[in-house]
Amino acid sequence: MTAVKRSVKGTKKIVGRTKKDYVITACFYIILALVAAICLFPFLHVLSKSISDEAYVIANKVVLFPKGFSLDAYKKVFADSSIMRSLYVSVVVTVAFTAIGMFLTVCASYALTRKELKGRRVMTFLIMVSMYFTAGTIPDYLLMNNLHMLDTWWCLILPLCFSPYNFLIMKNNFSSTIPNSLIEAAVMDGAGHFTILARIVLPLTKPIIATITLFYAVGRWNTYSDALYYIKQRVDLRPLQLKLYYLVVSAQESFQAEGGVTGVLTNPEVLKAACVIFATIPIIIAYPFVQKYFVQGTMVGAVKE
Amino acid sequence: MNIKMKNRLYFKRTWMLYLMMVLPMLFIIVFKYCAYPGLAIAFQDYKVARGITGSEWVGLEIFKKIFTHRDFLPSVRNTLLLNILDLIFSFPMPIILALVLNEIRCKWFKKVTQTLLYLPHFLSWVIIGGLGYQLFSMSTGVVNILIENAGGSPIPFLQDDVWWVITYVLIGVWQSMGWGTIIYLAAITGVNPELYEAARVDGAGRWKQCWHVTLPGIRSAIVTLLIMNLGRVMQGSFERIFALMNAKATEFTTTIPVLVYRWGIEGGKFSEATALGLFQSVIGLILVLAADFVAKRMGEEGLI
Amino acid sequence: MRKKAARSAAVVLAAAMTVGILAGCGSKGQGNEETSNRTEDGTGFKDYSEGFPEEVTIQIPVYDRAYEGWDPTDNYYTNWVQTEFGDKYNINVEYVAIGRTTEVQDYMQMIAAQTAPDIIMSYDMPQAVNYYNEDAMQPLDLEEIEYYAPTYYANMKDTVAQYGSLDGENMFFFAERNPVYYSEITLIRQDWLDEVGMDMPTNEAELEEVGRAWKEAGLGTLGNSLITQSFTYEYPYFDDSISEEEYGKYLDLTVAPLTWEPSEKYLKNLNEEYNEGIVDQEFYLNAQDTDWKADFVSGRCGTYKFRIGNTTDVFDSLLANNPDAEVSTLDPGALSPEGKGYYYAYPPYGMVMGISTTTPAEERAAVWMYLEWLNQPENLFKMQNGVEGDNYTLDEDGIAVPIAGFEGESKLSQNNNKDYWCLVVEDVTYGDAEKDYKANLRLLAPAGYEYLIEQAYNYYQEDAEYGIVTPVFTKVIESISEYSSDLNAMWQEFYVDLATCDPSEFDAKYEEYCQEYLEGGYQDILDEKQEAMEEGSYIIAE
Repeated sequence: MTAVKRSVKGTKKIVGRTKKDYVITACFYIILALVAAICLFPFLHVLSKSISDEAYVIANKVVLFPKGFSLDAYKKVFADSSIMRSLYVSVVVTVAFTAIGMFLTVCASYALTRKELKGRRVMTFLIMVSMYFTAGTIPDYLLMNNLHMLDTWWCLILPLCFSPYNFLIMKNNFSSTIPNSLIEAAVMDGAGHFTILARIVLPLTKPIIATITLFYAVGRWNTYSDALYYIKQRVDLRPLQLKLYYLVVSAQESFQAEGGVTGVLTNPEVLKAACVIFATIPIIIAYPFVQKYFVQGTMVGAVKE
Repeated sequence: MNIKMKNRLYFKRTWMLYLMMVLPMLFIIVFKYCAYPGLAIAFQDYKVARGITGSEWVGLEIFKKIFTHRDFLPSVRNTLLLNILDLIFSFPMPIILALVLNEIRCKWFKKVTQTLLYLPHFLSWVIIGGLGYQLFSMSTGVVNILIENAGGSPIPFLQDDVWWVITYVLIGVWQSMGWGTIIYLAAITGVNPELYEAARVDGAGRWKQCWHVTLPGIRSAIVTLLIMNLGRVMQGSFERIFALMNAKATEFTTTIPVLVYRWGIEGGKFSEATALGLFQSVIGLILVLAADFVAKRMGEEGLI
Repeated sequence: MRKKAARSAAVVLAAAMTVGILAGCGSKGQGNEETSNRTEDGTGFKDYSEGFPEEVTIQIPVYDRAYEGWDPTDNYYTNWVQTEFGDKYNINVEYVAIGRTTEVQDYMQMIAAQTAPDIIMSYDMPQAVNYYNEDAMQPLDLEEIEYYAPTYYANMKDTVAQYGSLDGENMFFFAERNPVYYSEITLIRQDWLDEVGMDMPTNEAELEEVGRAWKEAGLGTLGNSLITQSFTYEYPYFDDSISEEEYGKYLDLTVAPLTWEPSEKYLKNLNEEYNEGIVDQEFYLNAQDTDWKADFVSGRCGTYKFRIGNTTDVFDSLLANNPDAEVSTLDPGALSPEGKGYYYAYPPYGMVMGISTTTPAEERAAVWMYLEWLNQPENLFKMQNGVEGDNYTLDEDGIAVPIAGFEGESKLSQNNNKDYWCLVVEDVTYGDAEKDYKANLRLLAPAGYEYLIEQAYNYYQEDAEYGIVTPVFTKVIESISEYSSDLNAMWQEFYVDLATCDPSEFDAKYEEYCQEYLEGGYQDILDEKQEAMEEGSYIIAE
């Protein structure tokens, strides 16, 4: 750790900056600022919608800045027990999913980077195949049915929680960042692999651990397509994004044959926008906690010590 | 005797590794491989109420039907086209962004921009699609109004087939680039700072450091992701295309995921949808294995 | 090493497949429950009027429209059903939410998992036939329905007899429908009409005149939207010369009759209007109701077709954006060249329902009892209107007047609980046309806009003779489910191109597309329908 800091500080002393350098740096700042602004735009759009006057939102007149002002939609969201319930479901599922997923992924990634493990190519191959060779919606659904997992917490946590994609990324990272000598030395010293994993590998690979944790958490938080299939009868198990999906998509009805006295009323547009914001904020908040692990390298100190 | 000892030592040193693999393999087998028998419906005239055991077997009938369907070849072409364009434009963007971000020294600026860059990833395609229409419509779209105010003539972003593809790809780039940087940033942190120091001592400027230190440092991550993405050129996000397609520009919008949706969800033709999915899987697998093989030949580590 | 790896891979794969197959085949078998409610001697039915000896659970489907703040499976009314009806007969009434926008998918999945609710329902006859086609429904014993649900059966027996059988077996039962034809209306900007000094258009030519005048005055266009389902666009182009047989062949809510002459007329006309610039130049982007609404509310277009209700937000939004806006109901004749407002006439039934194959006899009896209970006037009235004094007050005619802004425990769902009572009736009715009209004035329009309903009602009276009922086939037309999703995709592509192409290209393109459409499966559908008609397997309602 100290070595890293020293070397970063050293940077400024060694390389004097030329004029050209400053221009380039300025360009980078400007480009990034622009790109970031474009990325912020849709979020601002939804945010503005969520606090605007319904009439202008219906007329599609709200683009970047709110027209009119009202927080009623948020009051409604917070007063709706089913939305709060969905938030709870999402949080529980995301936490459990991420924890289990990380455990499995770290174990598999570590074990499969060890050359002494026999059959590691076969196992890697089997895992990889499952990523590209998917059975499809109906077979997956039938499987869930046979496992008696439909309409349970488990169907939101278990089936997707070991991701071959995340595994391959982590495995690649492990094999390129952890010096083999380090582990072999530890094995020679008689350390068990779980100990090595916990004491040596994990501290060394914090950035990728943070990354994959983020991938798992955000992936679970944002995905609703599995819940759309697996959660039908237990309305109380709808995660937030599924709830949101229904709220947003239910607008798309225009059924001719559905005549009758009562008009078709959809959810107010402002309310939908408020729900989008409500469903997005919690997971965005998670990011800064992870971010610090990307700021600096962790490698050097460990190797030196 | 010697061998026995060796074996015992080997076992003592490795049994924990095998233990570590038990759960992951169990998950893969139970949740992925156990679903494969369900692929049988691609060879059946599948009736939902009768189930797999009660439905009639039809051999390769379903495949014959889908391969001769009028939309099949165009959808293969479109899927390849859109995904390859994505590979060309969406794939390198996060790398470039990550390298640029790496050059930023101002910490708060870096933190803020990084966070902002991720935002599009958190909005679902339904929302993005709606916004896209609001922005790119010919008569009322903000972008076209700006163009007109600047003296240009409106651009049919959504109506013209070619423009539609451009819009589709650009929105994809925009949506995914920020999120994609994470992996590379994580990889960059793993680069040994001593290498930079050494390069500097050798008088390497910024470009050279980037080219000779940073890029090689994240090279294996790039290769891994590239191989994985190559395997996906027959797949694609249905939600994305569905949110952006419209009835006017239809030349390139019929893709395999769209067909799977049309047959499986809209038409209730599960056998056809599953058969098409199976086709997609087989191609995907072949592609990824081929890419992996080539990568290994080129001296990369590859996936397996 | 390589060989070894390959071998072990094969072993692992084989093991995985075996486990999978075991899991796949391990689906639960059907219990051998009773299939009939008849007594041992077969003459009568078992009597459950004192309640079932053991608790029976029935699953009743309810559309989930994702209304914010409304749980369709657990609310004041579902609890009320349980205490008032369920507990009395030892029946546990469970409601199963069916996503309104995902209904087919939801049903198909539950059918596949053998967990479908006891009633399988759809508003569309062809979709109901699809479920039958998937073997998801069991044949019905009409005497059994009569025994357990006498009131319901007395109401519906003619409809069930006429429309309920498929391939010679009784499969469906229905909800009653007393169609209200003045709830789906097209609004027109009256202030724009006044501004250009024109009267309400009564036929297509006049409507186009209006469009031209609006365009000249820089006001806006005629509104339109993308047609993706429920195909009735061609109705205004009907005339007396069309034979019953033609109607039988072409009328279909699920498949657009692209090759039919009225379609050609419709498309040609749309093409002209489009090229003249008097219809929304991006109508094909209006894939959802909200899109067209946005155009209308913001003042970009001057007409808007929708299903009106007293809770609609159109008027407030329109006024907020255009303070001087005034609206009228457009004469339906204005869409027709001859000013004849041909319209889609409903068959005498609303919801089409069948009993799931997995439903045993006792549960079936309980379902009939539920329908019977729901059909009792006092129960139905409460389900439709809520609690007197809280939700509504009765006026001197005995019509329920909703109390605005009621937010208490017995609040109705946003569409007045329709998704519960739609199993027995499709519309609120007081059994008296005049009363119904009075009630509808309140139900359909927000205060101050009753005149729109009045106008719509008057137009409907004028055009009443032009209703066309879609003939129903009594056997499955297999090619419809085979091709409809493909044809639907083709239709959207073709029709938008036909509407927006250069007028000089229209004829050639139309011919080309028709050919492609026929080859894409439409010819098969026409042939199969023709055959069914020749066999006499279809019904034309008066």
